[in-house]
Amino acid sequence: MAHRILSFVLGLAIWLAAGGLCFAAEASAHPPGADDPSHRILVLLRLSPEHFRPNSAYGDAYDDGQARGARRRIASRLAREHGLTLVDDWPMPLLGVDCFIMAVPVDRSPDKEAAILSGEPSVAWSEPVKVYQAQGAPAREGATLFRVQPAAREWRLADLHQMATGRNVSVAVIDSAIDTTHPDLVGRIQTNQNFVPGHPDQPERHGTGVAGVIAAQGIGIVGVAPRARLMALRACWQLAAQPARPSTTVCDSLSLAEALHFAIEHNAQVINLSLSGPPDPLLGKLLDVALARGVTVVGAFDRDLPDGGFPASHAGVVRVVDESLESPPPGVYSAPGRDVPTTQPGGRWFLVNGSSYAAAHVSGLFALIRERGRRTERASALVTTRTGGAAIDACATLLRAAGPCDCACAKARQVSSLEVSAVVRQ
Amino acid sequence: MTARLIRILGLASMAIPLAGGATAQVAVSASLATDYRYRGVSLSDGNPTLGVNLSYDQGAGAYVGGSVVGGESAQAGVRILGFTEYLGYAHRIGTDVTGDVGVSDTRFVQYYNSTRFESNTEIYSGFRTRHFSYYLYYSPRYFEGGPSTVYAEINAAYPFAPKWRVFGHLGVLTPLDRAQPYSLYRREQYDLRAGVAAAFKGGEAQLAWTSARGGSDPTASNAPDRDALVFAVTLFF
Repeated sequence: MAHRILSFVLGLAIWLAAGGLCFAAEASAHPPGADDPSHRILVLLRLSPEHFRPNSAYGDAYDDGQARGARRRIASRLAREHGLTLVDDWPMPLLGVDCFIMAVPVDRSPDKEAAILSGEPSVAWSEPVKVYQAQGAPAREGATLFRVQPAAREWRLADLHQMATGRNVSVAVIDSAIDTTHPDLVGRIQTNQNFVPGHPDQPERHGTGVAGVIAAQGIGIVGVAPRARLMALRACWQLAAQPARPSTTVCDSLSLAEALHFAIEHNAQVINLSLSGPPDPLLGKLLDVALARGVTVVGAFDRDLPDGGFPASHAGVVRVVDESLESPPPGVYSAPGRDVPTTQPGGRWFLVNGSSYAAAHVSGLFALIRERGRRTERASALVTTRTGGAAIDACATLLRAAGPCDCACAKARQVSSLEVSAVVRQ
Repeated sequence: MTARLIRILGLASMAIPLAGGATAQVAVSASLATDYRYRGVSLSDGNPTLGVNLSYDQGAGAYVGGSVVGGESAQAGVRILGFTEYLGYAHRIGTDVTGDVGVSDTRFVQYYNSTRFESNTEIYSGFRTRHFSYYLYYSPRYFEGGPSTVYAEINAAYPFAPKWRVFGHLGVLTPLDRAQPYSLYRREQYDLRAGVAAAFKGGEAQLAWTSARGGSDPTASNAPDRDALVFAVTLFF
């Protein structure tokens, strides 16, 4: 009897192994168009709660591979039934789902296929991969550095750094590739992850510039939080400049979701998203998880998109526009973002413009606030220069978080108050 | 034996409401291991084993499963060495914590003059986080002639690189009735497991060091070694 059972078990194992190999072959045979991100959809399958599972590999506590295999089989069946190609998958335990990426044939609409798959009982939801664009204008070369930094004047950077420098605060920069060897950034990058491996692995302008605004250490410029620890999470890539179009930086919802998930799992305290695009359910759920965990999320406000574009439009995200917008909508803060000198690939420095860099300033400011230990992760932590205004008073913001101090910011405010009192008395 | 296994799994499946069948998942895996260790103690005399694991997740938290392990028996050649069946309910609490309760039945087969089964039925309860799990098991009779016991375990795992992780386990088996004159388990037994795992497409490989200390389990004393390095490859289907 035992012999027969063992023979059956061995036979079952061989049969299942053959099935697994069939799946692998199917997944690797990509039809034309399968590599085009705009023709991909994300199919989210619910994770059953992980549970007791006795086997020879007992004692582990991570990543239920057996259950993942089950979901992969479901995804494989769905792809086959709907004429799609299973491209890849990755688990997102934070949301209780496994994400499967499927390629849609070029003659069919990803939106329609996602809607159809959303109706499948085993699917939590499905959505097309969306495209996002960084909110930085083309850079131009600059010659002077700290003394022309807008933040040095408007935000009194040197005074801020008497109170805090962002020491040991973890800031995730979800952006294009950062030049980790730039003299102003060397030693500031604690993690470097690439979520768009299909693109050339080389430093890019936007990510490097945003990182410099946040944490440059004073070789050429001084970042708002020069002692912060950066998580360089590459979810975007730089498109080559065309004759009629300057170089732009784009991302897709899949790579952004992977980077966000990584940032949350690795306990980022501030997440900078200097980009905008259409609302996305997957990204929205991840942002909700981040916000619920007390992470500060800063998004660039896009004046060309309704409600500032996503993720700035998402509830709880700190919305930031560059100061060139004279009357930002309520709830939108303005920060330095015009002619900002910052780091660029190749150990250089450029002047840049745009809300991307304004958002980076605010991410740096939140790193300073967090160093002072106050649980002030939301926009309500920011103090504006006048009631109802949008321009941030960085000194007042940090003073409120840090409490009274014998520092330049506090003295300047005392002088300012005295002057106001004198004017009132006159 | 086989009929009992099928009956238990069948009854357990029927007991699970089908309301959540829409997201039900059937999971299957097969493992090849250089040794079959149960709480640190070898049950295959240090010989390699093949195991098949099957589970059914109803989707709303209820689950049932079983595993069978076969290998070279010192007395009778290639044989079934053990079975485990389990039935439980897991519930996700927030994004990070999952609570888990259930009952399991583990049986080993011994082939001396005749085929003999040793069975241990336990109820368990625990919770899991992203990197840790903590469980308590109560057994009214720990295998044949054993006392009632409580087994407590803590497991940890941490991914240190894409597709790679380290893990560790510590378990303590405590007899609740030490006064039994003929009890084989009159003092605590500890087991440790630590290793590294690497995932590959469709499976993973593990290399782990395991150790058992204390206790007075004759199975443990008969084992070739209380310390062992175990390599296992698991395919997920």
